[in-house]
Amino acid sequence: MEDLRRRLDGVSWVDLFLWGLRIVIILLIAVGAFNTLTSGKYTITTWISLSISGLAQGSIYALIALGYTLVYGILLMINFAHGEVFMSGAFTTVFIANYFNQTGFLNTYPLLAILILMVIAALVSMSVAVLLERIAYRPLRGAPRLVPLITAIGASFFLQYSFRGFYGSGFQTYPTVTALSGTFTVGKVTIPVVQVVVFFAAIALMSGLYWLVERTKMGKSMRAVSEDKEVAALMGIDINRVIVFTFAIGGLLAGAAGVINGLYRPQGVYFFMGFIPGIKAFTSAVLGGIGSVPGAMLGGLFLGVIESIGPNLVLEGLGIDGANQLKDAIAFTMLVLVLIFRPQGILGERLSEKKA
Amino acid sequence: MAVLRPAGDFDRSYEQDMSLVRQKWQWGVLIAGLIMLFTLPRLGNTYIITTLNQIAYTVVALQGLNLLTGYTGQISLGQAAFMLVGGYAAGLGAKELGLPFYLSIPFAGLIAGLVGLIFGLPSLRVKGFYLAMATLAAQFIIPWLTRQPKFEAYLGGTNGFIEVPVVTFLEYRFGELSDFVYISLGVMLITTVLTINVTRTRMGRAFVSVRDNDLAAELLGVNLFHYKLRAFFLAAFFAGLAGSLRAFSQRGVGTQFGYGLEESVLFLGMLVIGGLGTNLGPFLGAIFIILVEDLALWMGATLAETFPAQAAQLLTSFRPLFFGLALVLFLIFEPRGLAHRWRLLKASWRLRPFAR
Repeated sequence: MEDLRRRLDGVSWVDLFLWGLRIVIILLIAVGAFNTLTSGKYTITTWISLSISGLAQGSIYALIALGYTLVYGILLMINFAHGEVFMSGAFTTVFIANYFNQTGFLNTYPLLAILILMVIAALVSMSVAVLLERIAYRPLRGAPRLVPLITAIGASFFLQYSFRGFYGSGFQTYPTVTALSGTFTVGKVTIPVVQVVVFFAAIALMSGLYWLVERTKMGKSMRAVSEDKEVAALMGIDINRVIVFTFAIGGLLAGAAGVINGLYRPQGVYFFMGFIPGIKAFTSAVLGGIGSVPGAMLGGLFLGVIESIGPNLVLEGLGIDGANQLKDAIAFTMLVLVLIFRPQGILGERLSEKKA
Repeated sequence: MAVLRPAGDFDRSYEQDMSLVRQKWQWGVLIAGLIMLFTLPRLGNTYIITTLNQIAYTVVALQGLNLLTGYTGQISLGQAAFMLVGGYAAGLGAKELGLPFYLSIPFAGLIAGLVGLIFGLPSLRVKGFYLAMATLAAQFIIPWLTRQPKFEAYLGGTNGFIEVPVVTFLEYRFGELSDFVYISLGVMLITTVLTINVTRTRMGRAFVSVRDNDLAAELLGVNLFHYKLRAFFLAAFFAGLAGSLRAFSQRGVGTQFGYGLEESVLFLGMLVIGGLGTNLGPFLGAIFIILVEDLALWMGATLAETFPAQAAQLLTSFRPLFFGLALVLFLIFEPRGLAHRWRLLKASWRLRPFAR
C-alpha cells in the first residue's frame, strides 16, 4: 500500500491525462480498423493500390519536407514560407508547360520537356528561396526565435499575393502528358504509370541529395555547420555561403516537387496552393524527426500512406461519413499527436532545450 | 520596464504608487480624449464609424493575443477562430437563450475561453513554431466544424453564417452602427483597464517570467502549466468578447464573414507592428494596420482605374501585399514596434534640451 502511494505521488495528473489520451487514441484506431476490416467492404487489392497512390503523394511531401529539414538542421528555424517556394516554381512553370503542350513539344519528347520544366521550376524556386534568406532571414539571425517565424509568415503573405498579382487568382491546370496517362497491371493491382514515375523521380532526386550531403565537400560543410556554427567557422567554412546553399538546395527540391506534383495532380495550381502541401511537408519533417534528412524522406512517405489509407481504414470504421474529405484533418491530427507524444519524431534525436 | 519620470514626481503613498493616472493634466487629457472618442461617432461619417468599430473590436482581440504572445511568449495562430467561437456563442446566446447583450458578451468570452483552454493544452509540451502549428489546428478545425451540415440549424452549416439579433437595452435598439459603436468602445475601455491591471499584478509578472525564461520561472515557483493555460484562457476570452462585438455589429456571424487564417496572421502582424508586450501596442498596431490597409485598398482602386486590364488583381492583392511587406520591414528595422518609437519620442521630449 505504502509502495503504491509512493509511486502514485511521482505521477502528475498531466501525465495521467496524457496516458489516458494515448489509450483513447489507440482504442479509437483499433476499433475503427477492426470494424472496417471485418466488414469486408474493401479487398486486399484496394489497400495495395491505395498504398501505392499514398507512396506517390508521400514522395512529393518528402521532397518539400527536405527543404524544411535542411534549413532547420542548419539554422534551427522553420522556414514557414517554404510552401510558397514550392508554389512559385509550380505556378510559374504551369504557363510554360501549357505552352509546350500547345506546340506539341510535351507529347513528342515528354522526358526532355519534363526535365526542362523541372529545371525551370527549380531555378525559380531556388531564386525565391535565396532571396527570402537574404531579405527576410539574414538580418534577423541573432533575434529571438519568435521573430524569424513572424517574418516568415509576413514573407509568405507577400509571396502569395505578389504571385496573385502577377498571374491572377484563377486556377491553372497542368497539361496531361499522354505518355504518363496509361496504367499497367501487376497481379490483380492496376497501377497508373504516373504514380510510378512520380515515385521514382522523387526517389532519384532524394538520392541525389543524399549523395550531396554525405559525399561532397559542400555536404560535409553543411553537416559541420549544423553541428556547431562557431566551430565550423573556425575551421574555415564560410557560414553564409553554406546557409545560402542550403536554402538553394531546399528551393531546388521544392521547385522540382512543384512540377512532379503538377504531373500527379494537374488541377488546382493557384497562388495559395503552397499552403496545405507546406503544412503537410512540415508534418512529415516533424514525423521523421526534424533536422534529419532520411527522417524527412521516411516521414513524407509515411504521411502519404497514412493519409491515403487512414480515412477508409479508421474513420469509416468509426462511422464518420465523407471520410475521404478528411485527409487534411488526418495530417493535422497526426501533427498535433506527434508534437504531444513524440516531438523528436521517428528518427530524430531527443530535442534538447536549445533546439526545441 | 523602467518608466522615466521627470524630477519631482515622487510617490508619497501606496495609492499614488499604484495609480494609473498620475497627474492632474493627465486626467485632463484622459477626459478630453474620452469625450472626443465618444463624440466622434455622432459627428463622423459612415467610414469613420465603421473604422472606429473595427478598431475597437480588433483592439480587444489584440489585447488578448498580447497577453498570450507578448507577455507569456506563447505564439497563437488561432485568434480569429476563437473570435468565431465567441461570435457564435453571443449570437446563439442572444437568439436561443434570450440573454441580454450585457450577459451574452461575457458569455461569448467564457465559451471562447473554454475552447481556448482545449487548444492551449499542447503548450504544455511544445514551444514556438510547434505551438503555432497546434493552434493552427484550431484555426482549421473550428471553421470546418461550423460548416458541417449536421449543425446547420444552429451554426448555419453550408450557408456559412447565422443571423444575429439586434442588441436592445430597455426598449432602446442599437440597430445602427453609430449607436452600437458605443458598446464596442465601452468593452474596449474595460478590457484595456483589465489588461493593464493583469500585467502589473502577480499574474502578469508570472507571464513575463514564463516568456523570458520558463525554466527559471518554474524554479521560482511559477506553475508553468497553470499560467500558460491562464494566458490561453485570457487570450481566447478576449477574442470571444471581440467576436461577440463583431457579430453584433455585423448582425451575423460565420465563416462567410472571414474569421480565416489570414485574420489570425493579421492580428499577429498588428501586434508585432504595434509592439509585443506593451500596453500601447494593440492600439497602435490596430490603428496603423487598419489605416494602412484602407490606404492600400484606395491605392489599389486608383491603380485599377489606371490599368483596367489588371483591375481585379490589383484590387484584391494590394492589401495583403502591403501587410506582408510592412510586417517584414518592421521586424527588420523596428522589431520592438511602434510602441517603442513612442517611448523614445516621449523620453526625448523630456530630456529635450540636453540629449537626443
